[in-house]
Amino acid sequence: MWGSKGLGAGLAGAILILLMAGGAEALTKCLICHGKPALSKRLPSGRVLSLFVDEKQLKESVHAGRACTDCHSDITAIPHKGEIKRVSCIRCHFKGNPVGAPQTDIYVEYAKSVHGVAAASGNTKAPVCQDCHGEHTVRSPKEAASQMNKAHIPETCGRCHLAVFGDYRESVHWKAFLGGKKDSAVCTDCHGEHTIRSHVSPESSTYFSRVPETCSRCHASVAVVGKYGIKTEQVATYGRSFHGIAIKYGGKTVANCASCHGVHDIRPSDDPKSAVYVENIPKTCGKCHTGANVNYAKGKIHVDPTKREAGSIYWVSLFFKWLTISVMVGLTAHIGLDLFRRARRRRTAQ
Amino acid sequence: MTPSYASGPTVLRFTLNERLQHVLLMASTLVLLITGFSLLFHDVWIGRWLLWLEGGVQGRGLIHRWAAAVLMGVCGYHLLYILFTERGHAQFMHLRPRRQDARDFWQVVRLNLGRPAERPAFDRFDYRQKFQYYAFFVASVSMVLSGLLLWFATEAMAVMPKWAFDLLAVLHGRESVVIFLLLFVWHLYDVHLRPEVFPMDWSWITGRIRLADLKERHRAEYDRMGKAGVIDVGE
Repeated sequence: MWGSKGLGAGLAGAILILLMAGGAEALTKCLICHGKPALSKRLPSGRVLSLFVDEKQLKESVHAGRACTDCHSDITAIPHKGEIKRVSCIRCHFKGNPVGAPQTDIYVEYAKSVHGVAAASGNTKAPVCQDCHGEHTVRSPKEAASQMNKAHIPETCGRCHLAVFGDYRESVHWKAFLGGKKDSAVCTDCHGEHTIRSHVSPESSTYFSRVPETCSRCHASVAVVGKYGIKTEQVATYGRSFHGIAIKYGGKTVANCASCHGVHDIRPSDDPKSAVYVENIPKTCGKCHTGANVNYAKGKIHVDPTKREAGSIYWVSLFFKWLTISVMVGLTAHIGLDLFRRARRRRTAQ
Repeated sequence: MTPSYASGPTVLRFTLNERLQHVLLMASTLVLLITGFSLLFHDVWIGRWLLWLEGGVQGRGLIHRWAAAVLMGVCGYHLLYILFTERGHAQFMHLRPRRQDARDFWQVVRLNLGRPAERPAFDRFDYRQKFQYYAFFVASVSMVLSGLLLWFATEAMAVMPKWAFDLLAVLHGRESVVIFLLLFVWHLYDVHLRPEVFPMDWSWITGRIRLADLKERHRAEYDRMGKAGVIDVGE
C-alpha cells in the first residue's frame, strides 16, 4: 500500500517538475510576441483586444511556473491556427487532480449558480472563473492584491453590477469595512460565492423569505456585530413580530429586513437618507401599508415587551405576568381547598 | 352523594336559546384560543403544528377572524337578550353581585379551612358563577376591542400611534392566557371535575337540573321555587 502511494506521489512530483521546467521554456517563447505591450487584435465587434501578457503579473500569480499551453491548450502551433477559445479552468481544478491544484469540486456549485447557468446557456456576458478570479493575475483570495480579496470584491462584482456597486458604496456595510470593521458584509457575504442564485430563486440566500436568516448570520451573533456595539436583539424581536412570524410560516406579502432597511444602500438609522430614519418611516411603511402616516414612527420598531425601555408596553406585559401567576395560584388554592374539604367530609361521614 | 346522571325529577334551568348562546360562545372561544395560541407559541412544537394544521399564518388569521365574528355576534345578541327580553333581563338580575356573595365566599373559605361555618344557601347563581360571568364579560369586551383595532390596524393607525398597536398586541396575547386559565382551570373544574358533577354537569345540554341537585347547590332558589309552587318540594 505504502509503496504504491509513495510511487504515485513520486511520479506526480516528477511530472510536476517536468511540466514546470517545460513551462519556463515555453513562457519565454510566447513572450517574444505577447510580451510586447502594443500587441492587440481587432475583434469583429470592433473592440480592440489587448494580447499583451505582463510577465511580472504572471510570475506573481498562483500559476507562476505554469506553461502558457497548460491553460491555453488549444494552441498547438505558431502562428496560431483556428479560433482561440477561452481557457477552461476545470482541466485542472477538480477533486482528484494530479497536478497540485487545490482539491475542490466547487465548479459543480458554480454550474448551478445564476452565473454558471447563464454562461452555459450561451450568454457571453455571464462571468466564468477567470472573470472574477483574474486571468493572468489570479492570486489566492488571502492576498491583499487578489481581486477576490474581501477588500476588492465589491469592485470586482461592480465591474458588471455597476448600479448596485454605486448603491453599495454609500452603504453602512462598505463604510464600516473601510473604517476597519473587517467583518462587515461585502457582496459575497449575503449573496454567496460560487453558490450565488438569483434573488427570485427559493434556493437563494437573498430570496425574500431567507433574508432574515442571511442577515442574522452576522446580526444575531454577539461575536460578529456585538464587538462593534451593534445590538443583536433586533433579530429576535423581528422573529416575534407579526412580520417575522408570518414570513416563517408562508407569508408572501410581509416585510423582511431589507423591505425596511434597504438592500444594497442600507444606512444607519440616524442618517437622514436612511429608509428607517424617523422622518422616512411613514414613506417606508407606506410601501406596503397604504396611507401610512407619522403615527408609524411613534414608538420603537423592534420592541421587546420584557425590556423596561419598552415603556407602557413593558408595564402591561409585567401586569399580565403577575396577573397570570396570581390567577394560577389563586385558582389552584381554591380548587385544592375545595377538594380537601370534600375529602375530609367524606372521611367524617364514614 | 348521588351521581348527577342518576334519574329523578328535574326542572328547567337554561332555555334552548341560552344553551345555544353558550354553545356558540364556547365554540368560538375554543377556536379563538387555539388559533391565537398557535401565534403566541409559534416557536415551540405545538404552535408550529397548529399553524401547519391551520394552513399557515394566512389560514390561521382567517379562522381567527371568523371565530371572532361569531363571538361578537353572540355577545351582541346576549346584550340584546338581557336588555330586551323578560327572561334574559331576569337572568341578568340574578347575576348581579350582592353583598351576600362576599359573605358566601367568606363562609366557603372558612368551611374549606375546616372552621365551623354553615354551608351557604346559594341562590340561582353562586359567587363563583357570577365571578366567572363578569370575568368573561370584561375579557370579551377588552379582547373584542383590542382585536378589532389589530384587525383593522391600517385604518386604526390613521389616529393610533405605533406604540399603541404594540401595546394592544401584547395585551391581546397576554390576556388570552388569563382567559384560558379561568376557563380551563376553574370553569372546567366546576362543570366537569368537581366530584358531584363528574364526568359532566349535563345541564348545558339538557337545560335541566335535578331537584336534588338544585336543593344541594342552589338552596335559596330551591326554597323560593318551592314557595312559588313552581316545583314540588315534597312535604
